[in-house]
Amino acid sequence: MELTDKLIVLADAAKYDASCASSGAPKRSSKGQKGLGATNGNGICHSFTPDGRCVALLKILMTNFCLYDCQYCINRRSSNVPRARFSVDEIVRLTLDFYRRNLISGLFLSSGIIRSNDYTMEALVRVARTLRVEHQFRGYIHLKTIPDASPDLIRQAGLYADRLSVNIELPTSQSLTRLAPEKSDTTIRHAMSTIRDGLEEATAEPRAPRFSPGGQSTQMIVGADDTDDHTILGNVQSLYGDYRLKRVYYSAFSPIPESPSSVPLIAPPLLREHRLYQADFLIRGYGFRADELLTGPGNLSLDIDPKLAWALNHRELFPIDLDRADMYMIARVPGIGITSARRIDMLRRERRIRYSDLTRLGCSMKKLSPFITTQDYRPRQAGLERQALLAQMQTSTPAQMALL
Amino acid sequence: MTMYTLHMTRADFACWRDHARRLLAARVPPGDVLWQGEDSAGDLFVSSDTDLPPPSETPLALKLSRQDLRRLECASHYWPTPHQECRWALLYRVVWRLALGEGEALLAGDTDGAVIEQRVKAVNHEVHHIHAFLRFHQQPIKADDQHAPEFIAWFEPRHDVLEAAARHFIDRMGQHRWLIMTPGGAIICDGRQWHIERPEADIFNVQDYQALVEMKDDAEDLWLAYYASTFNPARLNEKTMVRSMPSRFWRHMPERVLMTGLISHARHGAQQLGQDSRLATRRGRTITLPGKS
Repeated sequence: MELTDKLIVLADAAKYDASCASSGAPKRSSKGQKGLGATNGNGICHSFTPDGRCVALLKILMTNFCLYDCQYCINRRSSNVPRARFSVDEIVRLTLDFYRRNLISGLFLSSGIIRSNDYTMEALVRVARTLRVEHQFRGYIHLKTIPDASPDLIRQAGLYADRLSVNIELPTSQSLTRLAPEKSDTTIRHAMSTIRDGLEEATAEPRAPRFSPGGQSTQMIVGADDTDDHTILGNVQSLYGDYRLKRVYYSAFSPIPESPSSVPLIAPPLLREHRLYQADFLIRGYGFRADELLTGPGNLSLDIDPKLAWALNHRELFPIDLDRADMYMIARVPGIGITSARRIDMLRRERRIRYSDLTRLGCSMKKLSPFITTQDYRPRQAGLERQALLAQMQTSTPAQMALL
Repeated sequence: MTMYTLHMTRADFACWRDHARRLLAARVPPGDVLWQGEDSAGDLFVSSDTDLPPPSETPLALKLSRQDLRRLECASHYWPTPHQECRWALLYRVVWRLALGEGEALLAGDTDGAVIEQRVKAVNHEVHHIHAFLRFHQQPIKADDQHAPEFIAWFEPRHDVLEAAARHFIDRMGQHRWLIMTPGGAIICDGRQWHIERPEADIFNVQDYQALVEMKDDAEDLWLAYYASTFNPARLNEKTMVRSMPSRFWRHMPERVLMTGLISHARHGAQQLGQDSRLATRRGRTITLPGKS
């Protein structure tokens, strides 16, 4: 098979992994040295495809031959797709050629399971080692970890990769048993703790060998089973706590050709994925707890964002006075982000806050206006009931119904 | 009222800083200063230059933190449009206010601070753009040629981001020799060091660049194959693509030739599945577990 053909097959097979982040790597430079590549902690999106997703890395599978039969996956063994396998040299050549032209910032390599877990993991590690040692490649490398691979291979992977990830795949262990019979929640979590231990050792001892400096992340497929957002966010919160995850990626289930009957034929609304990312961000960055965002079973509201939904449910806490309120509460006002909250705090040390300051800070005025007071502003909507206010805030425009 | 005209002999921050120091020492308020440089043509009614007054008995001086100074310098890399305020006048008003004790002048909530913030953001954004969307083309080089650049790129930045780009690409490119051309100057790197060449009269133009570059290089086809295949037609979202990658950069990106085709194909039918349609028609292969048949 031609290299171009292989690339088409193996990029197509890899695109269901949502992450393409190239951030979190330590500072490295090739200035005046042999070799190629640099990282500085910031990610770079070198292109965007018409699905609006960023292309930062060469995201491919080493091979899409796979012994597993995960129902949601296009590469499952019962799937009738063209199969291919890259050689180590082919991956290295593609990575370096694209990198020199500034098309990518590095490599994101994953693979179907061939022969055995350790065999597959070892092959992935070999690619990373060749790039790093033989070619002195200092760009970004993200390796997908095979959950059942031996801890020793995972440690080796951490030596060369900037980020490791193990996919949790589905929100609950029951769904995993049902849809991915060869995988198990226990081994996935076991691999995650191996990586966590590696990360902790590397930070605790200054002379410890390098280990995945960009941390670990995971991906969860949303909409392939019927788990609701309440359960998802609860599980995600404990994942963050237990495994020092940098990020959880949510991937709305994409229907696949010749879909088995165990998974749905239609995709969940992409907006659901978006709301989960927003809620995730509130948990990571704003100190929200999962049970604050969704108090009972059910999904996040699609028509308003989770922060606004929370504020509407807590009218008794608002409006707040921006000259007096805690920073922590200011950041909880819909329409005011962490950065703006910090800037409001800096400004109020100089003088009192005026309403027009908020426009200059780039806050979303429509969202924040019912929830704050300043010396020159008091919300008109203070007396409005939740429902009436909600109706006022909803931004959705009427949409034509689908024909079928 | 006396107006003072200051000539920016070089359009750079250091030059402005020297002027600003002397102006503060002489307590000249910002309203009395005319800045003459490439982005302000001067004033019709002020013809003669007046010497600056001697330093005042109560001179103003300002000590800025390194962070604030860097912020001002960054804002000075912003190229204002003709109806926007001259960058040097804005910067001087800000330091004047700071010197008088108005600490808010640099904060994003202030009227001047907001403009500074907006300019810093725009400059940083453009730095990010050049890091992301610049494309190098490999040149066919004879083995004994030790000087010709191996990689050449063309870019049209909106603000002065050449230095930031130079520092970034020298880190990335190792010992490769490369050249980045822009309308306002070129960065030349010999594999060890870089310098910026700013032409005085005639500027570089895109034709010069096109004459240099063998437009198509062989990695380009591979890149196009990858781009089309990593796209998921079931998630078509043009708006986000255009917002994140403004169309002014597309002209020099190889993938521009694919976009329209991918979008219209996704709209007409391929929406349901994520798979690349080139693969749907090809013969597939299911896998039997070893030991089972």
